[in-house]
Amino acid sequence: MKSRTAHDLRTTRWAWKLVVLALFAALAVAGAPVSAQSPRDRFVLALSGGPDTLDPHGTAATLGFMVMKSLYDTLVEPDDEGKMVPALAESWSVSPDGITWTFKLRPGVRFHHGKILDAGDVKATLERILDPATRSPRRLQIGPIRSVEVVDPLTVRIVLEGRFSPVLAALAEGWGAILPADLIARKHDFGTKPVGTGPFTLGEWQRDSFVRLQRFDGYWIKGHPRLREVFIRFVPERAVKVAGVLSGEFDAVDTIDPDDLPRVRANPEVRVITQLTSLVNVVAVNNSRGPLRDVRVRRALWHAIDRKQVLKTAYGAESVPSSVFMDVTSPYWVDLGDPYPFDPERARRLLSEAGHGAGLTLDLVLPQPYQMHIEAGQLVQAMLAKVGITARPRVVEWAFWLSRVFGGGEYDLTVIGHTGKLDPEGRLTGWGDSTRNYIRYENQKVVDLIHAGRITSNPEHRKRIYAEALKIMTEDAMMVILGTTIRYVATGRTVREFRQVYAVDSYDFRKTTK
Amino acid sequence: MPFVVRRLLAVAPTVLVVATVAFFALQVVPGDIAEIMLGVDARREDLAQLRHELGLDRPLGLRYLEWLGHMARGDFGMSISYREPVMRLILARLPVTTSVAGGAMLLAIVVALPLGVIAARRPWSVVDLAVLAGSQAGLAVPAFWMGILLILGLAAALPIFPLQGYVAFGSNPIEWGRHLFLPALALGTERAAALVRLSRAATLDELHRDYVRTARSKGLVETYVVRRHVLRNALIPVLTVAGLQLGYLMGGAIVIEQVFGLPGLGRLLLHGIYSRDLLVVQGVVITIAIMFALLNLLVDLLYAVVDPRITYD
Amino acid sequence: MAPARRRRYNLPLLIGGALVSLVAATALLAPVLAPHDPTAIDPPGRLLPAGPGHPLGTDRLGRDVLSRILYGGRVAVVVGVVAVSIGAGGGITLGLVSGYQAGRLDAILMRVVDGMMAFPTLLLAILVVAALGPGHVQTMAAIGVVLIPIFARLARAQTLVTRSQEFVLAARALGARDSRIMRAHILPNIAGPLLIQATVAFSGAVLAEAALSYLGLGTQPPTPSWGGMLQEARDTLFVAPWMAIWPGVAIAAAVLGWNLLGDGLRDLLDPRLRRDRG
Repeated sequence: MKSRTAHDLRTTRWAWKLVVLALFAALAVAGAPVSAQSPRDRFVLALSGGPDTLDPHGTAATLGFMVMKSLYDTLVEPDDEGKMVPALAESWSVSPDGITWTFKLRPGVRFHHGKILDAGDVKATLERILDPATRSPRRLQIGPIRSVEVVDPLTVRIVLEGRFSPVLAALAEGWGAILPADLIARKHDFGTKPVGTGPFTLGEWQRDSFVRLQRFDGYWIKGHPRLREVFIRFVPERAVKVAGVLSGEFDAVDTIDPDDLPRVRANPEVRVITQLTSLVNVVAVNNSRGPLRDVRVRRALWHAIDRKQVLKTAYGAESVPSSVFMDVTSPYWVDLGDPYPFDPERARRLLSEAGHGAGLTLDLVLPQPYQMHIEAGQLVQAMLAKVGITARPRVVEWAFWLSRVFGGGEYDLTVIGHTGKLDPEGRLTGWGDSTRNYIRYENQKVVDLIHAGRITSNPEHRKRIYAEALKIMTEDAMMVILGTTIRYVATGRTVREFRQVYAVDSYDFRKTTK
Repeated sequence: MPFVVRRLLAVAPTVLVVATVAFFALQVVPGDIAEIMLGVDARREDLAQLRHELGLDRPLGLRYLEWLGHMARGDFGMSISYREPVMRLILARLPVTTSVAGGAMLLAIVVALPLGVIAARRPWSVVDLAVLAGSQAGLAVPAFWMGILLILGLAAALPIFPLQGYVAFGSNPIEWGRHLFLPALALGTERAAALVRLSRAATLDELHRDYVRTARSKGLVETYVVRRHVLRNALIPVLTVAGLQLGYLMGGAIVIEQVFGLPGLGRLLLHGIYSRDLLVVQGVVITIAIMFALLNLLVDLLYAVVDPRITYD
Repeated sequence: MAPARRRRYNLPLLIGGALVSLVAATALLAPVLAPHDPTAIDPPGRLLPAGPGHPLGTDRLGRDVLSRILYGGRVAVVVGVVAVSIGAGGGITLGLVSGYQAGRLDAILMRVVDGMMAFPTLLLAILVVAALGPGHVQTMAAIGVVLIPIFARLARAQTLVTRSQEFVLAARALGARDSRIMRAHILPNIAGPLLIQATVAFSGAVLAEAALSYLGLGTQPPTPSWGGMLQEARDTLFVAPWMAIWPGVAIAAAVLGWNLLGDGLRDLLDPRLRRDRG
């Protein structure tokens, strides 16, 4: 009896050991590091977030267009300087009255499902955007289009309601992507099964996780794209992104934190590319609120805030200060120097001139989850305190900010970044008319100038008109403009031609190699 | 099985009430999905237009009734921000959340059960005290902080496990395991700490029972007794509690998904809340409640299986 | 069924009490103890590792991490006190009335409570905050609401047992009003388990506040809170790991303290019930 028990015991102990051993073996297999580097023709990009839909007419989200840029093409596209160059359209012309635009399409362009691009596709696409049933958030921004006519299979004519200079820019934005007419007619679900003329087709998309793009062999630029596969991983954590590019798991990562730069630059296998964004970061001021109605108070805010310090600390040391409401990379940017230099003494003097020598209490709204704006706001709060302005910070959720601050004007001060558009019209429309901008800034002259810019087609004239408008806006100190953020992109050492498209904030992999 | 049906029906009204409250509450908070979609480029006329096109300008009551109608047909409706049926979104994410929660529970049981038994065999010995202290420490560490520590520690020392992301089991089971290990470990630590105490207590209870004394007096070797009888009987309460807590783990998974960037139900829920995509929030809430109810039910049935004295009629 | 050897001291109670007192004292004395103003910004001194001026280093805005943790303790204590008050106040009232009256009211109330228990607590808290908007006060309310059913269940179960005991029956026979019986006779008799539950709820509240703040739904900047500090640490995890470590240590210490205190109280108040929680 006893010996039997002992025997039992031994076998069971054996069994336990085996189980433990098997467990460790399984872990070891599961844990074995896969070769960090992927093959030469596979490119892995880590992006902060993913698209909500792959239907270009169903969203206004930048992250969506970053992916869609590789799936679809537009009639024209911006080059590195923001100049419009041919894409699906080979050439175009505009009637002297600026109403009729005629586009000549590139022959032999194929959609992913085999159809050849013709004028009917352009017509169907534009009509899809304009159809209220499509619910495109960009329906009104594509321009005042009256009709789209097919002249011949490769010629399409767009007739406008009135003069509108930014037409080309509107068509070059991500939401101007051309879709095939036959699938539009069949109410195809482009949101999850995108079909375009782009350099890549959709391989697999796992929401909030990754999207795998595969080379489209029939792409209209011969020999492109070079890459066989682009794998975009959505990684919200910046620290993890940096760890990934350092280990070689990612070939490129968007926006790495300035604080990580020393670590990244120390790694010889990684290159850091600095790119100016099209963002203009501002401390927005509600011009309709009590003391802020007084231009002296608004100017005092400029003097009180060390704009360079805020920009450097919150948005990265290499960010570029600006004094006008235009990104510094734009051809329409003007250099006004530093019209209201950092000078707390002067700020205090202006405040007491305006009758607020005893101090002032303002409400400062900061949008979650934008860490850099929240940090900038806390810096601003500390600086304002030194000139006797008590700024009460209030961090609110993004939806709340959009609704109450941006929509309702319920704030005194807020910190935010304004994204760029290909055409200055996109950025400037509404400014000067207090019912149409969230800072309630009113100046008829600015409204007139912006309108003049909209209907002027000569670029040099437009530049002069917009420069005048920007100057007046800064003279009025309508808000405290900080400047343009720099973006640090890290790539593997051998990566070439990883292009960021000016002002539309998307990546172009067509010529990328690694 | 009428009992099962009755149990599910009992949960239905509360689920409906919570979903209804969520529906109206999210109407009261500032911000709607049209504003989110247009963002900082929104012009007043665009907003009005988009709201109209999305049907947001229709009376609240009507939209609620419409949603009820969808629900009655077993359909969660369409997500506005994703432009996809909510059901499809949920079905794609459910495996992620259940994998994390299930993995965490598995790790917890594997760790907690033997430790609890070992600790109980010599109460108040050094081993026992160490296990108890470890369990107290484990209970005090928030799962998301554990996750952060794992990322910090493992990225530096042992770059074996990926820090972020998810790979479906179907596409690569090994990668699935690698991606799940850290989140499951982070979430499972706290559960393991709780289960250790339970398995220790259950083993102690068993060890003091008459049959153990009898077996001992018959001269059976201690280890054999423990393994043969005690373990089996102590296993029952531990497993049932573990099953019950799987539901709670689904709540914990919400935060862990955020730490490890996993595309699960929690991330979907937070996206729905932040972007005011009502139907997504509703769908996730109802899904989690149903999962929770099913788990509870399963545990109840399990009780009946292991203990013939319990019957449900 | 007594354990092999009895412990001579109630160690959990001692350690737990010490930890809880420590957290409460540092929170209370934060203005005296903190070397710096927790919101004082110093851009040139950002992301400094631990050093003489900053024992635990500084964060992205050059704020002193130690000072922020000390002040963060205040948030944790306030959230805990308010949330547990809401949960215990609401839950015990519900449970008492429900258990004492029994009948239809009991059936309805317990159904509501069961309904609330049909959701993971954190999910419920997130939903409440979603409806109320993120913030400090909202967080306390959310956690308080989530705690209500837990207290209600316990109070009801205890009341059901006590209700039919002789002293209650005697008081009733003497014509005491129901509200008085509940307050003067039943409540003191069921206070023990409720007190234990309250300490456990306290640790739960600290954890929940940290989780909500980590998700960006709880206490909002610039008010320092432990969960919020962990959220702020995410972007610079590898550059400034101290930002991610110390607030977590603080959370763990507070939770450990409350848990031990709860265990110790259990041993003290009801030695028969020496059974470990699952």
